[in-house]
Amino acid sequence: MKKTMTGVLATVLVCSSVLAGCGKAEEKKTAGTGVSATSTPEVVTLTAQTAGIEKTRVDNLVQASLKLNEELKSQGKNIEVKVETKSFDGSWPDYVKQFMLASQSNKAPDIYAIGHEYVGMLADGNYIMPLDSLKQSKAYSDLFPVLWESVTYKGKIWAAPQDTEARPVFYNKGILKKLGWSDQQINDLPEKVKKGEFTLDDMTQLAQEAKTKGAAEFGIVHRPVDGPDFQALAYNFGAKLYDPADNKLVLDKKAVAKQIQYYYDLAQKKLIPDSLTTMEWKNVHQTVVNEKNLFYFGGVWNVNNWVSDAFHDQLGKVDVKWVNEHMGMMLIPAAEKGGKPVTLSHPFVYTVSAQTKQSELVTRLLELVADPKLQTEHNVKTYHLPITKGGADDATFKADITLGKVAYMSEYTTFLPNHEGFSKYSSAVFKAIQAVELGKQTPDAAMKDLEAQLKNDLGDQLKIVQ
Amino acid sequence: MEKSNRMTMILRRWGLPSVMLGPFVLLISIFFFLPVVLITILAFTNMDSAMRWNYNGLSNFKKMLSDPHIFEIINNTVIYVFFTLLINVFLGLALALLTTYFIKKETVGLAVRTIWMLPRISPPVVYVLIWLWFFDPSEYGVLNSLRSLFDLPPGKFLAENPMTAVILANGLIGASYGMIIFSSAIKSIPGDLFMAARVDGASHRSIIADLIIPAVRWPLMFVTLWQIMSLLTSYEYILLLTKGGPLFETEVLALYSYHTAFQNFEYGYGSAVALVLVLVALLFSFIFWKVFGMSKMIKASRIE
Amino acid sequence: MSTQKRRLPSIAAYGVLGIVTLPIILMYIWLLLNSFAQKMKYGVIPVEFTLENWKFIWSDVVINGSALPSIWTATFNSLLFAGTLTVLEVVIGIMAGYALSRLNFPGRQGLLKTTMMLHAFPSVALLIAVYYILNFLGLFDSLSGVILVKTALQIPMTAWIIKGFFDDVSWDVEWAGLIDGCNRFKVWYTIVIPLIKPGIAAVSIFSFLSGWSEFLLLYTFILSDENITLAAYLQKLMSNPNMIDYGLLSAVSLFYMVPVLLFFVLTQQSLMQISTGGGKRV
Repeated sequence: MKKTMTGVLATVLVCSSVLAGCGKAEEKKTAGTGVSATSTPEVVTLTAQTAGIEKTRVDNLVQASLKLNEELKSQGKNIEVKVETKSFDGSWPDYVKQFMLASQSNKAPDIYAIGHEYVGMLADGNYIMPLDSLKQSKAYSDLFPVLWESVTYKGKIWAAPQDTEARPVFYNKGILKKLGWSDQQINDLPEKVKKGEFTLDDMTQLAQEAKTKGAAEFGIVHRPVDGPDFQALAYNFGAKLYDPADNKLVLDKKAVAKQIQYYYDLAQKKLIPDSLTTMEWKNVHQTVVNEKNLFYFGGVWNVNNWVSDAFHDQLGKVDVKWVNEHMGMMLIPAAEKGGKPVTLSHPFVYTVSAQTKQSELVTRLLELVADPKLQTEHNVKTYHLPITKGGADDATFKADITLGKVAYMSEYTTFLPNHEGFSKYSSAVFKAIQAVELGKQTPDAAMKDLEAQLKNDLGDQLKIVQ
Repeated sequence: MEKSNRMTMILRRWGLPSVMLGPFVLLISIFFFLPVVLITILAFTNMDSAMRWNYNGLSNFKKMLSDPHIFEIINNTVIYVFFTLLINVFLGLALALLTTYFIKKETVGLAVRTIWMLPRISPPVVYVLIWLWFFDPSEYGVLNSLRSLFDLPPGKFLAENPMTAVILANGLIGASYGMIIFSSAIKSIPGDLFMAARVDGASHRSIIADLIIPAVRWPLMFVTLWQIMSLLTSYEYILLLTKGGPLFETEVLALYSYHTAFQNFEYGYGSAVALVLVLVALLFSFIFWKVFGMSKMIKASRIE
Repeated sequence: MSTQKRRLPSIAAYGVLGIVTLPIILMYIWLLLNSFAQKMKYGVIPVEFTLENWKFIWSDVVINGSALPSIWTATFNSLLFAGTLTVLEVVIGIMAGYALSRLNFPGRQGLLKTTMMLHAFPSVALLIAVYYILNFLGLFDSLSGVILVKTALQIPMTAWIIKGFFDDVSWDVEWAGLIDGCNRFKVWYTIVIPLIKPGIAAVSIFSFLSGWSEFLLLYTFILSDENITLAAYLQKLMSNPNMIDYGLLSAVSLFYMVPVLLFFVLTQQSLMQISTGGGKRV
């Protein structure tokens, strides 16, 4: 019998040691907030998470915490704030999923950086807390007013804008030269687009010319995966994606049909690579950098990609000067002559977990991180645009040769809706575009499927406009 | 006095079994039975990213019926299960025949069977990586490099024939399962029978048809039903290889449940899809049960 | 004449076997070559030997300016995961297997049937609910939580296999021990268990390997970098959208495969026996 007991005990021990492993993480957190002797300051640990290659988004928070600590000290408070940073690798839906699941188990980071269009979803699920006080804060007083729209949902402010960007169309100067364009003409192209003289159709035709004359392998390349860029075209065709009055997403059938037709035509004319939507990002970058393609619907941060990874066949990593010599950047040309060209901004924002126990310190940290110097550090390093006037006036930012060329694009910008169902809308539209590009469906059939899909996915969150 | 005696009696009778089976029963209750109950409840809620339990009746099931892609997905599931099964069974049988009947050297047979076990025991991430590299659409992929030798333009196999790729990759893994079971079935045929057949001058064909096939009939049924159940609910390799895409071309029902729940955050709808799967799988288990009965299954679960 | 006729199919058999098996061998050889090559000509012929791809062993991999967690953290976690899984499965499996095989208790038939049913149960379809349960137990994003889930998913199979081994031990052996005056547990421990050692070995290997290879559960239920395992590490490298570095990927893959290959070469006999039971992984 004794041996039986030992056996059972051993099992219990094994089990409990396994269970003990999980308790550790929580202990660590509470240990930080515990009150300690007055001489050593009480350490408050805040966690901040981001995803993607732009680590400055969380590193800036660390920088801001240094300043916050100085302030706290001068106020005679015996608190020291420490920011722990985390970064996620993977797709955006996975990133959001992990945040939501972590929140469910009380393991959410205090500050969570994400694209603004997820604000609605996170707010609806009570994952994040409203930050209305930021609107009164001095640090955000010179924020570009449109950016408040990007973080507003159901009348409340849910996040602090972190950066914004331009999504220009890159054009390859070398290929235009091969077509006989003069340097002057090449450099004037953005201006012509801006005035609405060079339209979307002109762009398609030029791409075709480059292809038929053999100057380029492909005329036009866009991102291979779902993303905000595709919606810029919808806006270009006059679509409205969201009705804030009813808080409903809108399927604007006329405009979306044009949007899908556009991609269908590109594929039919063989201007885009076959099955572009199944390509790897790597191949897309290689195509663009190696002068195989004339127009690329990109983002200004792509410069960062090309500079940090070896995509060029001979040169490997290229430098900024090379990019500016070989690529031009323009707005997405207007759909009609004389119309207004568009671009789309996808501001990145800091949200604050509804579970944070330090909402006051977090808010102060968010005010400090809006400092123009810190903004510039992030902007120049990762090729994004500032969110405040102060950031735009920063000398270092202004001196940047790439960013200087796209700063004007903010005036032409559009945003994605902040609706919780938007990711479903976006992925359904992407699937429709993919279907017509791969030649699996005609635009009409794709449109019909899209409507059915959206009705099914969104139900009464959808409004259909003929 | 009498009371304590009864206590010991009870302890005698229940003590040992409950101690021995305690952890086992606890684990399967928490991670099998409880989830089934939860899924069943969730299937009738509209739980989404906000994680609220709101009863919504049958609307998830109605939604499934009106889902524009559900028929494509069911169709994919059938194609995927059927063809993967075909490869599993026939390749498995062929390999078993080749390594046990045609090749008499045990070392060679064992070596080949060992190699065929590799895909099965390789971590899925590694195994899929090899396939991804093989089909890589750029000129650096193996298939395209080989095509370039014949002056063919690079193809996009994974985009154009995704289901074929999925079936091939899964088929190779499953083949080893059939191979092992069939091999042991063939090996369990008494050697004298082969000798006698040979003395009688029987051809290979008649030996296979009259001796081997009857011997593997039950294992064949076993492998088929077992694999149907596994394939219906497995999606790990598809998730890694194509993520169900492009479009919905390789999306199977099990993966769809995963995607709706963990990608679209429609936990309620995802649970409803999972519930349907569980019911289908239970149906097959029932058939399995009827076909094999208890004793046969016991035997089948550990063939040496 | 007749011997020649008999030999012909056997030669053909070698040929066919060679052709169908070759791709699999090539797959793994490619992995090896690619990890030591600067570039692959035509995708298959290695050019220029290099150790560059193996640098991850002594220094952290940096992608886009940020370092991945150390490979050794991932290795340690994978070992911890697979090791604990194995211990739990073997201990619980032996206890349950013995009870199912030998003890008489009410509901035995029902439990036997249930255990068998669970073999084929579509457990991966239940991840949504399992997430809830882990969350409730406070075990979400912890290796221990996933270990419990994985143990539970495999335990019906393990218990069943071990039960089979116990079934093969004749009652006489146990009776003899009991008559000698040992108590039941001592008999169990000193006489029966040693007899089923091969079974335990096989189950251990199977559990360890399946734990070592686990991807889906870890991918779904683990978020933190400190809990990263090798499968997730590799997945991280693979999903980096900008660069797919096949050299590095193959080196890490091989590193990941080492225990698998080792176990495989050393113990494939017992593996062959057990894997007939491992139907869950297709």
